Amino acid sequence: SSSSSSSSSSSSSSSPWSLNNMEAPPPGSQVWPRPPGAAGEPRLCGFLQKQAGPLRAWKRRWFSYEQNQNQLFYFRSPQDVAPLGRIRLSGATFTCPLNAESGTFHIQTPERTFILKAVSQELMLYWLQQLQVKRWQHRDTSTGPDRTNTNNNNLTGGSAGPAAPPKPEPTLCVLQELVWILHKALEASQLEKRSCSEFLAAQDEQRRLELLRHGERLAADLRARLDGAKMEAEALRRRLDDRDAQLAELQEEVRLLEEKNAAKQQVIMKLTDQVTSCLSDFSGSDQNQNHQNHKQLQQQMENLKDDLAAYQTQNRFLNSEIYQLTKLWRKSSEQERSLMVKCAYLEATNCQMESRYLGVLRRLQEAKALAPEQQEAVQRLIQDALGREAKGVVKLSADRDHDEYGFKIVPDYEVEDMKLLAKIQALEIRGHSLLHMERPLLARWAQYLAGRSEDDLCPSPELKALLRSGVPQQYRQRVWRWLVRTRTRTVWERHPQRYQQSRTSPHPACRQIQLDLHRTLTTNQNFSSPSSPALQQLRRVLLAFSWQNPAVGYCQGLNRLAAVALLVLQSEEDAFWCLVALVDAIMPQDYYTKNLLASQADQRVLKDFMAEKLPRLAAHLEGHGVDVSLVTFNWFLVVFVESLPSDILLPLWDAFLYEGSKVIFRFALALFKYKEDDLLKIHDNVEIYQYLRFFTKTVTDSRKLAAIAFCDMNPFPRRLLRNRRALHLERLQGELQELEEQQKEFVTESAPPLPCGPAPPTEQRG
Amino acid sequence: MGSDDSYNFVFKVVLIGESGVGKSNLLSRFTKNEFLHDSRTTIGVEFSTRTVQLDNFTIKAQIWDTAGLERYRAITSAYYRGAVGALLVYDISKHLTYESAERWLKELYDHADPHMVVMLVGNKKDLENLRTVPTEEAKDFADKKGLMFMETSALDSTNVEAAFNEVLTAIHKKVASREVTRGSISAVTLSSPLGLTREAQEERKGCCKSS
Repeated sequence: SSSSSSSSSSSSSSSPWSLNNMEAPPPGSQVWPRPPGAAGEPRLCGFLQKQAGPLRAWKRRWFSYEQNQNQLFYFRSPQDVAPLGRIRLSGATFTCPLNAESGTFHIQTPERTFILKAVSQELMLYWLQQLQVKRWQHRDTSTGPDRTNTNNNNLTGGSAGPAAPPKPEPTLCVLQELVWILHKALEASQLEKRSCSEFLAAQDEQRRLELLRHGERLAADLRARLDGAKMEAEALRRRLDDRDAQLAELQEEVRLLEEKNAAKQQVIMKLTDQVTSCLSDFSGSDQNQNHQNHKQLQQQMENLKDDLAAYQTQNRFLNSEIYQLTKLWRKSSEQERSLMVKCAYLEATNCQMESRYLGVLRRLQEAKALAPEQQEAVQRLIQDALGREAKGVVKLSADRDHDEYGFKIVPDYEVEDMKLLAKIQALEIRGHSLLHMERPLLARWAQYLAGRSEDDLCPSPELKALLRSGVPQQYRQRVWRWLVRTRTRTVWERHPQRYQQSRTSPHPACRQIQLDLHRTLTTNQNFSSPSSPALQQLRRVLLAFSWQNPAVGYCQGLNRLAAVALLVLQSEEDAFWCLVALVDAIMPQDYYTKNLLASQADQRVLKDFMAEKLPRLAAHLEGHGVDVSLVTFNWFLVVFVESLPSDILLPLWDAFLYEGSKVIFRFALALFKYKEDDLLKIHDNVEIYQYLRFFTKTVTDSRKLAAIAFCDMNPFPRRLLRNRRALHLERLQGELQELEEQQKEFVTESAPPLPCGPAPPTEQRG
Repeated sequence: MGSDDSYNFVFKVVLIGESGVGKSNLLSRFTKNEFLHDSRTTIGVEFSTRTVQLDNFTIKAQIWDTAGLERYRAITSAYYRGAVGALLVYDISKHLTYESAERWLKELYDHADPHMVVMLVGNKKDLENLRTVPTEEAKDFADKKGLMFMETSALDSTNVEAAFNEVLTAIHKKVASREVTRGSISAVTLSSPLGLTREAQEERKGCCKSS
């Protein structure tokens, strides 16, 4: 009982983790099993999971320990009165399998094994401990059925005896081991008992002997087996030794390798050290160098700064210098300009005076009332005046025989006796051009073109007015280019490479083109030399055009148009397109094709207009049987090229390229109007013709002419021109048809022609 | 001066022939005694005058130089009207220009008076070494067609004066002798005998307006 009390006290006090558990119960446990004894009437009870049924499903049951019966009852719930079942703890053993879920423990009774599970491992151990204690306590108190058990313990011998009572501090393992040993002892003793009882049960000596022998045989056998086992053990030991030796060897080897490894590591360490030291050395020297460089750079920078400062001062000085020089230059150029203006004015006045003087001389020469010696004096003066040309005052600007385009400023007179007139005219032209400083016009154009690209130009009344005043030479190329591009847009957008493509192969017109090259703008500097590159350019342009427009091919006159285009546009391709614009877009259809029908019609249209706008002159010419188309046909076909001096021609073209062929009519009429009075004074057919041949070149005042063309000739409705053209074209076609029919009739009426034409050369030579 | 003094007759003479045979240079040689190596192409018609003295008559020759290009034919032929003489020019160094002579002749007779004086002129006689038209051949052709014939060189002025003078003389002869009935030839002169006197008188009294 003392031991029981001690055990009970020890079980409650000395178990370290039962105490711990009491103080700090594991969280999550709903009901804490209350240990019995300590306070009031404690009972061992609580929820546990119980595995049951064929499916081995876990079921939550309320377990309660009943001390009197040493049984563990389990209920569905704590309130239930009738238990679902009970576990008798007297013959039960407890185990907790290691490989099961945590908290699982088994209660093994002779009838069955209960598999239970606590919420946690700690709780499980608590339960097991408590159950062991309960079992122990109950065995102490109970007397009856457990005696056999004690006997059994006694039977197993002294070794088992002391083990049976629970140690003051029984650990689980010890207890389990004890149980296991007891079981073994029990088994062994039961075996022994059985053999003893068999031995005792033997009936006679022989039988017993037999049994003994059997026992001995068994012993011998066992001994033999023992020997075998011993030998085996020996062999195993030997093998073990071998293995040990092997192991030793291997260990030795390992040791060697380790040593080697250590040595290698040391080497590596050394090398690493070296490398790091090297690196640090290197970076150190680098830094050093950098430092030096830095110093040098700084030095250089300082030098540069010095230089910079020097340059800045120099620059400042030079700037002021430039400023001053510019001021000086501007002042002197202003002076120069004013002097130039003065000079020009003086020269113009001089020209005017001289031309007036020459005019007087001319009149004197024609006057019949003079005495012979006076006439002689006049003649001498005229000779002097003409001779002065070579070294005269006008020659101040001797380099200006030709204008920017290479045209002669003073036209050549093909008539011998016109030299005086030519001189007068030259002086007048010069006077006009000197007085008409084109500054305002230039400024207007500059303003108009400023900030406009070539595509930006668009038709407008402003542009029209500007073009009528003429384009300054420096803008003409650009403006013409745009005019041409606008006129030919539809074609060149479709065939931008047309010029390059069409100029490769020769054309039937090639011969005629070649023939006319040297006969084009012969008075122009750029075309006068047979070796001039302009001639080859002209050839290519005309050839390209003859491919571009096969209906026209080549027609004399196109050479002059192309030449002017080349002079102004300075580009073969642009000149080509200019020709396309002229022939295909600006001039009426069939102007240059076979029979030049539209050209002929235009001559008749002009006659109509002359009758309307210049009735007096028209009547005068009519009266003297003069057919102006003799002269004007030329004007129209080549748009006045080589009929007008370039300072009138090019402004005329400026307006013509923009406004179209009506401009030709305007100027043709204006030319007649300009010289109407002169013409009306002439009353001889031949002389009128003679006058008409060159009078266009005597026009000196281009402004006056333009004013007549664009103002005095108004109104000039486009529709009227169109209608007249259509009318005359129709008439002409009718006449042409009639003529052809007459010719046919004539051919059929008359006998076949005599075979006396020029025979082919081969026959003649043969 | 003095060349455009008063005159008795005005004869209109046309120069015809293929392009580039030298018509314009013949004209300038005759009227201005000039030769331009690079005379310009003739567009349509150009003309010049020169007054010559034949016997006791002053004759003003109004010479019309026409473009040779086929395409201008329609225009130029209009100016044949009223011409009493013609110089049909070809280039002796270019046979093609000679071959077309008959075509030119037909053209001329189609548009001008059939009785007009026509001379076949082989120009560029100076290019003897390049000759492709033998003189005899051309002469034969001229004879057959009833044309006058001469070979000239506007460059070195060989026969230019002679050719024009012969033509003018022939015209004058025709006019003066009135070998043709009045209705025919007088119509082709620029001034009829009546008009001639009137014009001549007019000219004499106002000779200062020559230019």
